[in-house]
Amino acid sequence: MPNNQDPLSLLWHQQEVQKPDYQALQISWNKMRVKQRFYVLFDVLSVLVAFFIIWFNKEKLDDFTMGLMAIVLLIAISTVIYLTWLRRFSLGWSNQNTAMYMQQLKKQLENNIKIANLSMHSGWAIIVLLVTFYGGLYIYEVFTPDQLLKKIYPTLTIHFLLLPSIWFWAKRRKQRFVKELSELNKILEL
Amino acid sequence: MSTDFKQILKEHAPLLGRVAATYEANFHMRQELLQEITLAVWQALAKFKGDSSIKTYILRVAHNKAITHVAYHAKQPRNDSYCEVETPEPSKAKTTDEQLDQQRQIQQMLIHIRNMPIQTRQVVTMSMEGLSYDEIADACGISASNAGVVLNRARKTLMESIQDAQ
Repeated sequence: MPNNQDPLSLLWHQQEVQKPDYQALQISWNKMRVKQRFYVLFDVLSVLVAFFIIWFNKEKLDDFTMGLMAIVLLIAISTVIYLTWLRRFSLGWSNQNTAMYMQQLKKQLENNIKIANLSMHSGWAIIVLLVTFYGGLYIYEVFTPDQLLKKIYPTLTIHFLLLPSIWFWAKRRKQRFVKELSELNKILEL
Repeated sequence: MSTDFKQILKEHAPLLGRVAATYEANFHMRQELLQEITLAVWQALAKFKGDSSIKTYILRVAHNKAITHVAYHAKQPRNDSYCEVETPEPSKAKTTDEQLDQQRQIQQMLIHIRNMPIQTRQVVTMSMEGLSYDEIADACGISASNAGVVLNRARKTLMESIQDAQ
């Protein structure tokens, strides 16, 4: 309630204010929930895909492919755990006091830069994995060279298109978070 | 949206509008911020444990969200065609000289508050919304005496700026 004796407080309460759009709010809320569920689903799927490939093809796969898939599965699990740890500040802390909130926001932005870096450099890791995978299949003579080439061409085409897109997307995200962090630091210094 | 939360949001909508006005001068950006703040408050209401008054809690969440907004939008490029309207269209109702004077004073007050450091801005806003020193201190993460010092300095500057505008 305004303090009736205080001219500043009276003036403050006489300002015309805008009102929230409740319908748009409901839409944003629904979108946000779908987005969060999609992120979780994507993280879980990235682990499950490798697991199911191993599980359903364990009798058909050669030892080399099985070993490599197991390594991919371990890397995927470790990455999901690491990403979840890096995102830990973004959940449920908006109600803390502002001094603490600003420190945690800073920490989360630093972590977001790390996540963007990880996404950017995941491209190189995928290339190394692919070279190892196809190199192994050739060395252990799992497929004839002709069969192997037929498998390599579509894989290369997909990755040729996909990896640069991921790199540019991650780079833009990194630039955005660096700017946000710089602005937040300015606010903290004031 | 549950009926209780909707009711709480409606009751505190003017307060949220006033917080948004202290962070954004641009009419459309302010509306965007108000939506972001209201959404953050709505999400946070489910976690309210009654440790403080609902008003203190809402103000704390609102300011935290506004800080994130400021950090995010400070360097965002704006389209040239972007509307730079600072205030909404004036109402068609008859405006007296006294009302015009008052609007000028409000604008002057908001300009000064927007130029204040975040912590001072938060302390001033919360004080004018009727929070005690202890409540302000709790929400900002500072001591009550510090809140008092910050508030007295800021009020002095604000009063001077408003008197200059008269």
